[in-house]
Amino acid sequence: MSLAEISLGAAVKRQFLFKMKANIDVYSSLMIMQLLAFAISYGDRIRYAVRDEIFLSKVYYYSVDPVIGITIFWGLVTGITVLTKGYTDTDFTFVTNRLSSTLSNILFLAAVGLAGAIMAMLSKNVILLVALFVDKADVLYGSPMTAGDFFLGTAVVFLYVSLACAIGYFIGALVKLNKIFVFLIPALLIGSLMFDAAQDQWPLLFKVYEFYFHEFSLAIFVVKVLASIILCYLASFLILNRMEIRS
Amino acid sequence: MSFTLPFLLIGFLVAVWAVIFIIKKYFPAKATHWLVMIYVSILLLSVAIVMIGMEIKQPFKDGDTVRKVSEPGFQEEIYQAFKEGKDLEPFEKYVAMEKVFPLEPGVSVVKIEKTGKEGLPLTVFIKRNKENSGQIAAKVYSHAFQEVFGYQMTAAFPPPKLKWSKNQLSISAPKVQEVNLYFVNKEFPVHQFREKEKRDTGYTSWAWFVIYLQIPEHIQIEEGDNVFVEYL
Repeated sequence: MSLAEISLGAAVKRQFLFKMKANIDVYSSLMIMQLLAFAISYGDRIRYAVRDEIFLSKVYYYSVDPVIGITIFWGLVTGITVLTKGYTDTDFTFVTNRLSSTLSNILFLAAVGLAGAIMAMLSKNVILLVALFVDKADVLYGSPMTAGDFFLGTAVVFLYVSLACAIGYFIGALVKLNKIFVFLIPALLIGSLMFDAAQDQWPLLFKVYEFYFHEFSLAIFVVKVLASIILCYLASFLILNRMEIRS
Repeated sequence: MSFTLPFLLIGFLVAVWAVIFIIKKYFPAKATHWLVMIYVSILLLSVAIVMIGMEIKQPFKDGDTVRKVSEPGFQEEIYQAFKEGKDLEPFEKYVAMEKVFPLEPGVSVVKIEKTGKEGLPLTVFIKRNKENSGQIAAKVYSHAFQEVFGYQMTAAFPPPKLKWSKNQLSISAPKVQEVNLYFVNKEFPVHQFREKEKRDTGYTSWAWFVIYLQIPEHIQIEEGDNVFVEYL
């Protein structure tokens, strides 16, 4: 038993800083996935070829959407892996409890999520560089990214990645509770898709997608996402809090 | 812009150096740190290069002047001007080529033919000159227009080629032009909350050319296939 008393804030801060140093490899996976997304985005750039008796027009589209999509997926995977044994064991290097561990994990996921969001938004320029140097596209048609667009985009991507991290964390907590969830969660998702297809109705997953991605009011979107994040982390904490130490 | 680039690059290098200095102080350097640094550096450098080296054109706003040219009626106007002998001055800016071909003495027949099957049909307006100038004066009026998804493109459509050989005028219509058009989209998280752009999704391409020949009256014209001759 330690005689030294440490406040919750100090414990969370120490664990958070340690996780930021120790888990630097999450950025490696982010870089690899974003590079993969560049390749997908580049391969998918030719959308139309219109031919008449005058012109054969090839229309190229450059989009950073695949990179953003893959960054969100990376958030989900990172959220799950944060609760794997290799990661959680490091918590016990410090004086800790479930609350400080969860809070430091949330802060860690938020920090890497923010870094992922900034990288995803900046990567648009890399795609444009490819357009400039590989496709020789010296003139592009479209709307340039303004500073306002960049900050709005980064904030929204950060919210999406944070939501994915929170969902991943919740899945990780369920798996920690019982390993059967490793099979149960994919089975439920695939089963729901098959059930909806058999019933000839919109898939539940599409309704979930619509709930967030088809929300055009920024204020309502922020409320929806923050509420979902809080709900996921709260549920995860309640699950983890019932478990034995180091389980 | 050429002055801005070195300053931006120097600023960027100083920033990279500062970040490395700070990171080395607090973190033990790992290969991943350097990889992240390199990746972030590429991302930041690409921002500077794109800002300086690329031009991103927005939807055209002076559409009225551009669209006027694209109206099919415009082509009729130049045809009418030829037929009714009106002033051709307003159409001078569309003159893509002017050539003079000397006639050999004693020539009485000139053949006009189109080479190749590709391209637009040829319309040739011929004006008979009463005096024998001993030459054929040729003028080509040409213009092309292309509008894709609400953007007016600078469509480079070359005029037809004229070749004079053995009292035969061979006209080769320009081949189908390959045009690459590059578009950049707003990211979906930005697009989700911005007012939707009212974008035209149509595709219009339009090109015409007219060949105007001034030929001495005594010369007979032999028309080849796919050549439409109108005498003025």
